Amino acid sequence: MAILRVCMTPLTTPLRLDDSVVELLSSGVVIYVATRDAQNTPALASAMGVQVGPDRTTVTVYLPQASAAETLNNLKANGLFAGTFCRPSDDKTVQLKGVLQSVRDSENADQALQENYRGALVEQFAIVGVPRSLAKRLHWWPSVAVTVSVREVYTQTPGPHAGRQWGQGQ
Amino acid sequence: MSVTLEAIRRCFDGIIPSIIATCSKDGVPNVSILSHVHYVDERHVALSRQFFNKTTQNVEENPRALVSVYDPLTLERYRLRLRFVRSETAGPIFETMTVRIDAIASHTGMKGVFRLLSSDIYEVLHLEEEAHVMDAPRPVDLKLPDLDGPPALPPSARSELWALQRITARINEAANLECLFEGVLDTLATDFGFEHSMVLLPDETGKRLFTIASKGYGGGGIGAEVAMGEGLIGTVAEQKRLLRVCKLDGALKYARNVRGEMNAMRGGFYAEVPLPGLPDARSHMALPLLVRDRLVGVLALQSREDATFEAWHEAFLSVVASQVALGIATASAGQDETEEARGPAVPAPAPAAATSKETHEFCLYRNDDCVFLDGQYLIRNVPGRILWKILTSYEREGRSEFTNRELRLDPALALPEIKDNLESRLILLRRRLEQKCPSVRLVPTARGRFSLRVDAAFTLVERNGS
Repeated sequence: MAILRVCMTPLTTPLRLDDSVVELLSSGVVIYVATRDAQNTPALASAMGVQVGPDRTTVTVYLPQASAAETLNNLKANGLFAGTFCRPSDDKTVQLKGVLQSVRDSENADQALQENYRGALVEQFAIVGVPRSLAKRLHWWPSVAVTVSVREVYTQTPGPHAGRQWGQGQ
Repeated sequence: MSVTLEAIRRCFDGIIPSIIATCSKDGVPNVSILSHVHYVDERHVALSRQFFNKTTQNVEENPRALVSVYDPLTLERYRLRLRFVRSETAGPIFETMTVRIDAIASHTGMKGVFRLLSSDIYEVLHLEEEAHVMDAPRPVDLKLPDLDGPPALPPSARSELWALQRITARINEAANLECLFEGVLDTLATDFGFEHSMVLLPDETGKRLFTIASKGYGGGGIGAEVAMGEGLIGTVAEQKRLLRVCKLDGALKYARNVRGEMNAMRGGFYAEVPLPGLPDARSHMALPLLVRDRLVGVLALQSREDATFEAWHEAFLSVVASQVALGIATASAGQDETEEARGPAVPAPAPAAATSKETHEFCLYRNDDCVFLDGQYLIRNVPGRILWKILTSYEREGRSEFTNRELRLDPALALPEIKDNLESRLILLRRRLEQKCPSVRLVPTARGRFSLRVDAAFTLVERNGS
């Protein structure tokens, strides 16, 4: 069900992710995706796994298929995406805003990537006291791969800098 | 709504962070992580605002918000569709949320810097359990013991009314403050499994609290002090409001990370306040002991487990705290009633020579109002002055029998007017001597009377400096 979408959006300029963001995204982060409908009513979904594109201007997040319908409908309608990526052990958090580039069903290679990612996340959860047996039961497969073009990057680490563009004041 | 907010109260204990999605007026979504969603009532929640951020800006433009909260025991997730109603900067909700943030801020050296700007009140339009969040447990997970598994679910039937009856009876039966504290702390351990507890009372300056009774900390801890307004207990005392932290390490980690972020900007924070009692406590609850609006003490409970203290404990332990506070007031009002009829203490025969070969030096540092024992701090202020009076009377006049009344009337001791101070200071003094110098003891002999028993030689030294 691959789709390609170009939409009118306030998020206009593609952005290249720096090393610190790429490092954070690959370290086992909790991922939440926000979208909105035509009435500007927000929707939320969690994702399991993220992959940064080769030129670092796109990311692909993996949404569990069973709970992705509302988010996918919103993305297909207006393309606007916000994703927050938080590392539980130190609360280091980044928010990426962007526009939808494509949606497709995940394949075997994606599943392998998600397995690795899930292992890192379970360990991150264990550091903050969430039992591994519980964290391993978080539903994640089958999944949908959502690729977005990144337009804005914000720090969301708790504190006075939260909401600033990534790299400012840090 | 098939699910009610009340039924998912533990999702609001701040154990697992929650998530909020909002949307700007021009349609750009935003998603943030929240350390704590505060339960207000069956139709409202409140979010704490410590910094102005995109979420704040968005809900002022577009009041719709979506929050997901986790059940900390099962990781099941609930979705709350919200409408932003108003920001509050005063009132009971704000004050309740403030005490938690102020206590954590004070503990982590950020008092006055990391603080609540407002409590943002949201109406809950819809609440539902999210589907497909968790996979079913595998059969093998159900058969094998889960060594790092979740804590047991709380009991469905509680006998809190009986426990309240027992604790009230112990308070009523208490002949003095010491029995009262012992009875309450024992009952809390027996009936609730709250094995680490302490009672602290304000000193005569009103600037510090000292530990008068404790359970579950070994023999030490009596006399340990906390500054008013400092750390978790000091903040509860200053604000006269209950504090319940279900995942203390998580709350402190969050605050330390905030401090790390703020350090880059301003630096110069205060040192962290050591945790009173258990250094590895994971749950903490402290209740002010109030008679009308007067603080007479703090009841503090700790646990090495997450989420030991639940929402219902707030109401229940508040009743207990009121009983304890009234018990302190009653015990104080009743003390010394029989003293006047009995007259002054009869001078005892010359004390017997010490049978132990121990020799101790008690040193009074006048400038600091402190007494040191063999070079180590022992006690200060009112109990220190009482000890000095007793020891000098013993040394100069050979007296070993004393009455509360004569202490109360001695202007040199400068006792504060509030009556409960004398008995509590005598308890503290007696306990400190038991811990630090068992060969010099204060032994109650009758209501309002006590003896000094000495089984060692001692010298008394007075100095001006420290």
